[in-house]
Amino acid sequence: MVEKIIYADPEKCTGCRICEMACTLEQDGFFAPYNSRISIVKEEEQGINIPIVCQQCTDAPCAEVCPLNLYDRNPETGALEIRDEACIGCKACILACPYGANLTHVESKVSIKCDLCGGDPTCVEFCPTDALQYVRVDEVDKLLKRSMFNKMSNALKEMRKIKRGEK
Amino acid sequence: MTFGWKGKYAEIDLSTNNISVKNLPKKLRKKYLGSRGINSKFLYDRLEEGIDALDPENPLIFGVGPLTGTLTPGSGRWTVTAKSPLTGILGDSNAGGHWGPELKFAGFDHLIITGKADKPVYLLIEDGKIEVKDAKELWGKDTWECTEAIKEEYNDPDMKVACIGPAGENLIKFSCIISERTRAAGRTGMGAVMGSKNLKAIAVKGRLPLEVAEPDEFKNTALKMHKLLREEWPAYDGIASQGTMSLFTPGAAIGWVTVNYFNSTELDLDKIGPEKFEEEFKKQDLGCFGCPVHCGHYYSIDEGDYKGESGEGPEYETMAAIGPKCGVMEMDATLYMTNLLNRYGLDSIDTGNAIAVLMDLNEKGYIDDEELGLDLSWGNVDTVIDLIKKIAYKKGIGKTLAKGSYEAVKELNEDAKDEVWQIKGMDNISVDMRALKGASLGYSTSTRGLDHLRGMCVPEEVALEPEASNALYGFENMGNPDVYEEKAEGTVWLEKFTAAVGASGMCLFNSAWIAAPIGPNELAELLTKATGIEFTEEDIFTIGERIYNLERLLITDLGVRREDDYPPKRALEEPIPDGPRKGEKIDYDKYDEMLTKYYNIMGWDPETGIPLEITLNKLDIQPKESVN
Repeated sequence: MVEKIIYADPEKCTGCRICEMACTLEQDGFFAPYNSRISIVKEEEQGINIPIVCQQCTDAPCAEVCPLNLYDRNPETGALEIRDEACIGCKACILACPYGANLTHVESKVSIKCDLCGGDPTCVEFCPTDALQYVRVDEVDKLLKRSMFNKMSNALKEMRKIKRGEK
Repeated sequence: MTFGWKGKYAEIDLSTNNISVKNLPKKLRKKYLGSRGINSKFLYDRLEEGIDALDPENPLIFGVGPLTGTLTPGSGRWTVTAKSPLTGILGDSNAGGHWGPELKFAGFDHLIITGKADKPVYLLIEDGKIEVKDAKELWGKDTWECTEAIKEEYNDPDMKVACIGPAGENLIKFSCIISERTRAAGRTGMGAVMGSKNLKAIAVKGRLPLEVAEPDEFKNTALKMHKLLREEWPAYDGIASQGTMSLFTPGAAIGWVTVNYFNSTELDLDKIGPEKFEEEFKKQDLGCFGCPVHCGHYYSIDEGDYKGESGEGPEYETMAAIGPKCGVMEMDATLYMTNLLNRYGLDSIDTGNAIAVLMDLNEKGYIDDEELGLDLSWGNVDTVIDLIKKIAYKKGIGKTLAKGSYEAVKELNEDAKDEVWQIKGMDNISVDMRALKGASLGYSTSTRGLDHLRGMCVPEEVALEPEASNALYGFENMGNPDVYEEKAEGTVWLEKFTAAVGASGMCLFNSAWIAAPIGPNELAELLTKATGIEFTEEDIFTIGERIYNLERLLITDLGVRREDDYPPKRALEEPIPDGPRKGEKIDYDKYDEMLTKYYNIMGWDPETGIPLEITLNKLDIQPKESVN
């Protein structure tokens, strides 16, 4: 099995927060963007929206620091899951996460994180711009390379126009 | 347990600082849904006779709907309602962004604000609690500065702030309420009502759950609606990439853009069209809360006189009103002026009209710009910028224009009053009704004065094909801009439907109003799964009809009669001078016949335009209900 993760492209993110609602409806059964396992961090002034979601680290700090060893790797999906029913709410995992992706569930006060919805992430299904994609971990680099290609090819096309005297 | 609605509203008296939280009656929910619907009902029951719009006792009502904050596509909408200082009748304005859902997650469906604080204040609403806070440091700030200052005060960049700018503080009759810098509850002067209460802002933060009746089914229904919009709606790509700016293209092709204050329809698309915007200014697509359409776009100006300016939008009506309507065809200047309007908190449509009509009056010799110390030639950007500032701060001629273009023109030269494109005191949007026959009826019968967001026959605007028109509305002619046939029926259809959409909390722009695939059936399905109450297509129309009739009752109580439901004189007498629809105007007799037919369908007295007793009984509209 090759693990898959949620890959987020901030350049395609419109900040609509549909993912936050899809996430909490799926996970909690009600709408609660503040509980969302994926968060859109917004900066209105700059028009920038950055999705933050667990990248299912191979050697995960959250799992390392959990004093009760509540983190398990799901063999089906590769997701790192927390047995939150036993969580004592010490928040060590939240402090340890390099992305700030783990969070405290407001109603139940335990730690929560993205579990990839059992291999079919609802946020990805709803994302209107493909800013969120569910991809094999060994293909994330290809998406980044393609993104870099698009930027550089645009620059090259502009340079060609200048050379041809079109600009 | 309450589904869809939070089930609470708050009454806030700023004179006494008395705040009470009440349950939202179940009877009201089923009958008026929420947002615009319940707001209008609250206003109808509370507005006492003879109360001026800027009197402390004019209730300022904020509301969200049962679909606000859910996975419904476009669930970011909120409505603000009060008696309008601009028109003296129903004031009501709707905005997107993220503020409305935040209010709901903070625990409230509606806020009813009365009284007047003895000094500037703002409201802090967090998880069911409401506090009145001192706004001394905020008063005088523009909307962007005010928003940032509040976020800094609480060290919370995610807090959602709706506020007024200098225009609202200075009681400009078409000042608006702005949230998140660029989302405007623009029309009918709700900013001035807020200013008259010494209320600068409402800051909201919410962490309360919002439940729907059938979570799994709601998810499936919502996903179906998202996919309908993204995959089945022909206009999706254009709006998603260019926003409503994309309308400049059919506007120029069909000939309904209002250049030089209705004196031309000829537009230079290379200078101010959507393609130029995309290529030179747009940096990022931006969506309101819960919306897959992302008609908003972040832009920045990278060179020239306005280098360094950035903002979000731009929206057709704003661009067209402050741009081509004033003769301005420069896109960078128009974007810059959009920011100015947002910062001052001025409605872009009314501001554009006030400036453009002044230019028109000058050209026609009713006023003399030299005497006024202005250069009112068409397209003079410096003048437009100067006048925007003068209006916001009531300086010089701005003091007159701040009353709204119709009152201002009467003050400047009574003989020129028929030059103004207005109905019930509200200015004409930047779509020329002479080119779109059905639009004239929607504009004229709108319950908040001349307006496109109720019964305007939008399918005409894009010349929707007969087959598509029939499939959506059951009428073939909705997309034919040149005929009057079926437009009375079509306008009624749209007025009922848009009232229900507005009351639900979903964005009108994702609905069948603009030929998008979410029609009455789909809206009923969303409401049913959200609330657990069975809604049918018929219910949607009944609720919409009830809201429309209640609003009509409110404005006829305030004196509106049949004679107020006619297009401006110039639309009836002055043909379009150029472009694809050169020579077109509204035929008085055909309009008159259409209006009578419209009244008959609505069940209103054809002599007076007042809803008949039998109509009110059928819709179970009660006389003013006691609120105490």
